[in-house]
Amino acid sequence: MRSINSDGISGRSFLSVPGSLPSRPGVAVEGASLPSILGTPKSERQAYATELDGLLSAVGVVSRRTLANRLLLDWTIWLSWILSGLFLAAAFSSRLRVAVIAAAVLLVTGGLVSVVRNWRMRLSAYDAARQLDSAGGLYDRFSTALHFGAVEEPGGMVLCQRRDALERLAQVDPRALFPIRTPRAARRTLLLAVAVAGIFTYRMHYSAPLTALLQRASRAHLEQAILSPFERAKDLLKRLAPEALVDALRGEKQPPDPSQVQSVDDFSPRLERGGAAQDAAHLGDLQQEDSGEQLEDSSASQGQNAQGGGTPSGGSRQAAAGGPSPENGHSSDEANKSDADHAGDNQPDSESAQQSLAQKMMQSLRNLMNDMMGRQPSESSQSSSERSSEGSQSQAQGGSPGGNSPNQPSQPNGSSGDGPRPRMDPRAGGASAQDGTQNAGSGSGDESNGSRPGSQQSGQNRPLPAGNMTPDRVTLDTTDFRMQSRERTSAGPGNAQVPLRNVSPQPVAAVKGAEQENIPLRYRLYVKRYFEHTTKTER
Amino acid sequence: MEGLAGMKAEHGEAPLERQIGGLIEKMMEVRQEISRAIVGQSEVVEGVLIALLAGAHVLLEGVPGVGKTLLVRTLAQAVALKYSRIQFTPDLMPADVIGTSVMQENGDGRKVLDFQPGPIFANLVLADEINRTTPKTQSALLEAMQEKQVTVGHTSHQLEEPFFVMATQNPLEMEGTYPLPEAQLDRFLFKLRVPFPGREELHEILDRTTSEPGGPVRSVLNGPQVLEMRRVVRTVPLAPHVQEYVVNLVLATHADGRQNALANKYVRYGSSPRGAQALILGGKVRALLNGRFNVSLEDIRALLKPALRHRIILNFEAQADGRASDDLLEEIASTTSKN
Repeated sequence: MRSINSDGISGRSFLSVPGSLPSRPGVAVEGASLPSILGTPKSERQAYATELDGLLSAVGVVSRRTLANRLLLDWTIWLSWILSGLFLAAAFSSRLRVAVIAAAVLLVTGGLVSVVRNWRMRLSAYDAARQLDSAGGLYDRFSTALHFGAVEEPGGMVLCQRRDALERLAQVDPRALFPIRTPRAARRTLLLAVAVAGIFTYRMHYSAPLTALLQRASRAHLEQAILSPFERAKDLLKRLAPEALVDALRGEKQPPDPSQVQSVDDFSPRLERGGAAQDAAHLGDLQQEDSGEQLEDSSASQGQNAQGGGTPSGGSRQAAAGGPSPENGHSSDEANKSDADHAGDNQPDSESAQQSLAQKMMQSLRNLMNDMMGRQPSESSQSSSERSSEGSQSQAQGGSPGGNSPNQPSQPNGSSGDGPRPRMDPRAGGASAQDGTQNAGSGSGDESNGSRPGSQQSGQNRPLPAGNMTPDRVTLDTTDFRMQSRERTSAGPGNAQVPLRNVSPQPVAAVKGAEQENIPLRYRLYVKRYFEHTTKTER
Repeated sequence: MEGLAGMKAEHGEAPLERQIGGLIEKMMEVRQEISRAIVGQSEVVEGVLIALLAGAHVLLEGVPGVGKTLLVRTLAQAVALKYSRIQFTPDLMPADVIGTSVMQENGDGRKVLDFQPGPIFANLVLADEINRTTPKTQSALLEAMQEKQVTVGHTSHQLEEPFFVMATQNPLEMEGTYPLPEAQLDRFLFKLRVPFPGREELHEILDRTTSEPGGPVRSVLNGPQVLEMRRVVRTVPLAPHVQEYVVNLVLATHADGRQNALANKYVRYGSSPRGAQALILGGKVRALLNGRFNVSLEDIRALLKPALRHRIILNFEAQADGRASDDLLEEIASTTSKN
């Protein structure tokens, strides 16, 4: 508590300046306790001098009007929100009664909350006096007078200041300076009210308008979302030439491109299991359906090619080298049979499911082809017949039985009589697995000994199709490559271990004594590079 | 001794309000007398009067020939104060300002040291071209301006009240000058910039100075009355929100990273507490001169530049960007909350 001097000013020294500065709120002034003016609302007028009643009345007007304006603004904003909610409810919901009751409850609750909040935050007399000073250009006369208003009989400058403020009070009309204004959001709220009234009138006769509209729109969106992929696929196929599709199918039937040997090598287990043979056979079926009955022989030969390429029998190689020898054909038939039996015995059910998946894919591709080739059936059938005739000629030249049907001759590349034959060891004609192993070890990189040389040769002999379609490529999912789990190997210092798949050696390879053939080429290359690097490092 | 008592005698047993009104009238008379010699420069004259009544000192800055020295001389005549002028030069010594002890013979024939007061022993001291003297001599004013006393040897000599220093400096001729140190600058309540007169004012100046001289300036106020006015000025009430505004302004000039981003960028050091004192004291005088008995926010805002412009030290970035302290203060005033 600080004392105050005769002039009504606190005697607090302000730094080194002699003299005084006015007291802060709450200090004692000449025996009277100056109320806390700032921050707390005041209702007791007895805290101020009686001669300040007029000033307090004016300040009260300002405070009440400010409160009223704030309440109006809050209520208007709250009402606009409620009206917006009502509008949406009327547009979407069928339960209008619930919405109206909820809106009424919210309106009353929000109004009460607004009243309580604004009452608690209402202007104090000092703040209202400051507002009045600012609005009336009074140079803080009223606020200063109120701040020193607890002194009943002030002297000196405080008295002069109070009289000056009271003199100015007569010239100030607080009602004119602080009118009760219409909130700025009132027009928007009025428009909302009109809109709500309109939609409620509409709802008296009809159901919710936007619900039906949204349902219709969402249905249309759903249909579009479902149908758009098919339409895109159709457009894509329409853009492609039918010839290109035919060539693509041809490329699918032909042995793979030499550039894809590496990728096919990775999928050798699948090829060993005869998946490629089945795919090729399926392609042959497709071709058969496409070109009619004339393609029957050709598809069979293609299937033989694929079967011969896919099985590690070496029969195809024998057929290419030995020509139309019945013995060779017989031996190849036997080899094919044995391989097919082995493969059929060892294929798990999951692999067959994946093969069926590949078949399904091919079937879908075939359907698309049929759609496209329906426009030019004559050309496709003609080209198919040409191919079938070529196939029959090559069959006649090769004459070796093999493939799926043991009665038909095996034809490794379809052009065994025309193109240069692969440089094969005649001794390898006897379907030996060792030859295949040696070939693989010597860098041909194929564990399916019979198929790879023939495939490479056929890829070198025939030109690539113009529109090389995706069937040339085989995805990882279809080859079971991703499904193969791998063992983690702990390599100690100076002890390199090759990560092995957690797959037991397949009987086909086991029978032929080539377990290592199950190791994909990239692993073998990795091991090879690793040891090369280690050797260089040691040197 | 006259003063308020004399004024009371003039007005009889008038209430204090009337006495204060009389004081204000006296100040208006002083202003009128000054305007007989000084054409225009109303803001400068008002600032000088405010500083006189607030009991502090003024630094006038302006190009030569705009009436700085004439203003001080006219004020001394109007207030009837003892006036002395010190022309600061590079070879001026502190003893030339505050005085020195000389050996003299007394009546007994004994030689004693006798203090000969310097020109600073006056009521109104004009320190002309204060930035032309060395910092050593400039520092001789420090004690006199703050403590109103000078110390020679082991003896301190009180200066006669009212003691009012008005210093002038030329902003253009910077060669051979010694800029005032911050401590010296801080002792000036206001730094007033004397602008070049306008066209009409220039015509008036020519008419007055090239024709017959007018009558002498009357003395309408004396020293005791000035002291009484100084006491009355300090009783002017100040609302809390006005003081809060002053504190906000002074804090906003400091680059402490909270108040003002502009100050953070351009200010090396902000205003001292003397800046806040100057604002409030000047606001009180200004309120009285404007016929009010309380300080308003407008008073503070009007005195912001003269009270703080020489208390803000700008950094290199402000100089590189060509920012002056007045621009900075204007932006600070516009961004500082009045609550």
